[in-house]
Amino acid sequence: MVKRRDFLKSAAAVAGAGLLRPVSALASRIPPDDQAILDFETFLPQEFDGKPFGPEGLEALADEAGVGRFFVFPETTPRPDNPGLAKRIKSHPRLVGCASVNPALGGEAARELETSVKDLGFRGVRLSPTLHHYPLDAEIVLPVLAKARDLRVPVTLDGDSENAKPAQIAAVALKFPEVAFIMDMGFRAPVRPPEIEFGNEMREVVKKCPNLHLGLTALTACQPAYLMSTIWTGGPERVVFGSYAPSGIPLFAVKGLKWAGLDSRAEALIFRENLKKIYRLG
Amino acid sequence: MIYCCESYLSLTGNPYLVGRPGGADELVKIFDEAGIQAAMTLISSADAATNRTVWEAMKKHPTRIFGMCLVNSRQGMKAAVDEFRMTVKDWGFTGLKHGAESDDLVAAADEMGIPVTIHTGGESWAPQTKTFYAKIEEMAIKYPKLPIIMEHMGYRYAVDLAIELAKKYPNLYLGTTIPPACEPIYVKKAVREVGAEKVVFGSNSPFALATLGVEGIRRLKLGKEDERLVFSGNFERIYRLK
Repeated sequence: MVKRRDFLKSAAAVAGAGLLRPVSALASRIPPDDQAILDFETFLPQEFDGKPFGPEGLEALADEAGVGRFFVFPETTPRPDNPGLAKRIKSHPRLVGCASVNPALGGEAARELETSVKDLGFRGVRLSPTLHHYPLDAEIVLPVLAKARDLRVPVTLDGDSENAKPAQIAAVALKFPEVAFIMDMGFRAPVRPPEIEFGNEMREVVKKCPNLHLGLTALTACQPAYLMSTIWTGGPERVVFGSYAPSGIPLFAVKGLKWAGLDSRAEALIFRENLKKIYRLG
Repeated sequence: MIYCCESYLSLTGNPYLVGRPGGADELVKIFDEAGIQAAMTLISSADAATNRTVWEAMKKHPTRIFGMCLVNSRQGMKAAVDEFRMTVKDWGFTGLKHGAESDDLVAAADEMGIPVTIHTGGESWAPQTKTFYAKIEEMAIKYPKLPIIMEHMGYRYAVDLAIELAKKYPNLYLGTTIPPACEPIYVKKAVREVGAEKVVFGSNSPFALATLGVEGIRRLKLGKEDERLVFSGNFERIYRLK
C-alpha cells in the first residue's frame, strides 16, 4: 500500500507541473492518429487562471493525457467569438473548430452557424442554455437546429441544468432525428445506478432517441456513480469521451474512465470510435 | 499531511458504490491511495449504515476515521438532538453534517463546540438557492464562534455566492469536496478571493476519486504554506487537533 501511495505521489508530482504546464516529455504518449483519443469538448478562452491562454495551452493538456485531437468551442460569452476562434486555431490541426451560438440573440444565431461552417470550416455547434439562459426546447432554438440538420453538423448541449432537463433534450432530439446530439453530462449527470428509482429519466430518453449521445468530461468521470451510470445508461456505443478543458483536466478524465476498467472494445468506442462516426472523420 | 473534511462510510451493496466493496477497511484503502491521513466521516443515506456503524469504524481505525454525525430529523427534533449529543459525548464524534433545516441541532453544536458541515451544491437557477444561502448567513451571524464548512463550496453554479459569504464571515469555510477533481480552477479562485486559511480539503470518498482530488489541489501550485493550510492546517485548527 505504501508503495502504491508513493507511486501516486510521484505521479502527482510529475503531473503537477502546473495547470497549464504539463510535462512535455509525456507528449510521446500520444498514439498514432487512428488510435489517439478524441475529446468532444474543450474551450479556448482568451485568458485562463489569470493569464493569457492559447491553443498551446490546450495542446499541452491534451499531450499530458494522450489526447490526439479535440473539438474546441469559443468561450461561452453572450455572443461567442467564432471568427476569433477560427483565427486562433488556424495553424493548430489537432484542434477541430466548432461554433458556439446563442439562440437568445434571434435569427443571427442560425446565420452565425451557417457562416461558421461554410466560411470558417467549423464541424459542429454548441448550445449553452445554462449560461445563455433559455430553455433548450424553446421556439428560438428551432432555427439553429434546423440549420445544423441542413449543414449536417453535430450539436453539443449542456445536460445538467434547469434549462436542459432530460425531457427538454428528448423534445429536441425527437424533433430533429437526423441531427447527432452530444449531451454533456456535466457535474450532476441526470443518471443513477439501476437500483435507484429516481433520477433515471435518461434511460427512457436514450431509448427513444438513437441520435443522442452522452458526453463524459472530467466533471463526470471523477465521480464513479455518475461515470458508471452514464455508461450503463447509454451503453459504450452511445458514450463519448471529453474533458471540458482547460477548466476540466483531460488527464483526470482519462484516469476516471480508466478507473471504470472497461474492456478494450468499450474503451475504443468511448475514447474515439463513436466520435469519429458522429463527426464523420476519416 | 492531508486531512479530508468529508468522506462517507458506505456499506457493500450501496448502489452508489457501483459494485465496489464498502466498509471501513475499504475507505482506509482509498485514503492510503490518495495519501489522506484521516477524514471526517459520515454515513451515506443510500444504505443501512448508522452513526453506530461510524463509531465501530472509529474504534477500528481511530487515527483515520473521525466521526461526523448525521441525524434524521424526521425522528423528531428532540430525539435528533439527543442522538447528536450522545454521539459527541459517548462516542467521540467531532463533527455534525447538517442541512440547515433546523436551529436546534446547530445550537447544540455551538454549545458543544462541534463544527458544522453544510452541503452547498449549487444551481443558481433554482429559486431556493438564495434562500438557502441566506439561512447559512443567518447561522453564521447567530453563532459567530461556530466553524461552519460549506462543503462543495457552492460548486457548480453557486461558487460566487459561497465565496461572498466566506469572505464576509470569519467562521464560514469552503470545503473543496469534488471541485479539485472536476475543475480545480474553482479552488484557486476561492483561495485567491477568500484566502487559503478559509479553504479546507475534502475528498467526498468513495463517491469521488480521492486521488484526483489530491492531485487537483497539487496542480494548482498554491505555494507550500497555502497548500499546507488547505490540506491540513485549517482542518487541524477547525477540529482542534493541535
